[in-house]
Amino acid sequence: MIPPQLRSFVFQLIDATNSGAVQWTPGEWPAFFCSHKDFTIHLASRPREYDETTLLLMRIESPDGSLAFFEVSQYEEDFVTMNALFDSVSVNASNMAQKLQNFFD
Amino acid sequence: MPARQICLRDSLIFEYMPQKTLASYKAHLIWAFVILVLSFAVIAYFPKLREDAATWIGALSAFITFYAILFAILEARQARHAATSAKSAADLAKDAAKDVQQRLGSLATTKEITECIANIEIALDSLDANRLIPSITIGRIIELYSRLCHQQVKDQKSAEWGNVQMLVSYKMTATGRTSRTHSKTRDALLTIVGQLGSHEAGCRQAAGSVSPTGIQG
Repeated sequence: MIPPQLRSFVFQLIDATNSGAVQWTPGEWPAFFCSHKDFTIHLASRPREYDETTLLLMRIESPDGSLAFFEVSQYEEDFVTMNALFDSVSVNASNMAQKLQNFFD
Repeated sequence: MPARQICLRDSLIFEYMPQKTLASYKAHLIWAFVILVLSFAVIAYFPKLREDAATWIGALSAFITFYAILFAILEARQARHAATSAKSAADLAKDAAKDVQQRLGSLATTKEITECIANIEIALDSLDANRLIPSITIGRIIELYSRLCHQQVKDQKSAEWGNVQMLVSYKMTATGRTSRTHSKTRDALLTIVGQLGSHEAGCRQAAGSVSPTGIQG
């Protein structure tokens, strides 16, 4: 689950990602990372080893080197929020919205 | 204290005492000879100095005093020279210590580079065999690489920072059941090998081209 202290941060991150205020970079698929104000954030998806449940993982590294890490499984309520973030991030990292601007021309 | 120990102690004291050079004795002897000749010449040239015992002794005392002053001047000059030599010896020792420290630092860096490259080889072999890179291997690569390029890794616009993030993203997504090529991880590992190769050449040069005086050739 998303730690309660970081819940509002995750919602703000979704908004910042959608608006382009934060730019993500594709990592090893399916993972992305971004740097903003000396913070580094990783977002990744992977199946859990023993039951193939999809996990969404977030890793936050602060400028002083301290780390925070949490994961959300597909059976948790927070998965909807994290999945929304993951979708926004994948669009942001690929610059797909800009690439598709002339799709129907 | 037994006599043997006293002898040993005295010999050690003697060994570490500033040694008088043959040249310094020679200077004293030459000046003593010059003063002696001069005193005889003066006494021979001025017969009044030999008139009575009091005048004779007075003249002799004057020459002895003159020699004593010369002796003191010579000793002072030698002491100053010895102090200058000791200072330059201390500077040389300091340079040598710095040199050794530099060499040891370069050797430690070379060792870390070698270990990092060995771990990268294991990682690349695993990718070639479609196996998961052991967590300890990828963790060690990140640790060593971050330490070796600590300045560059802090810069979020540098290629080194990007390489580290790519390896972290591999670590986060890697699972046992994978047939993906992990091309980005492979590229990052190969880039790191190239960077470390040139870094290692620089370190070996630094460790090998330092002259005994501590001045890099």
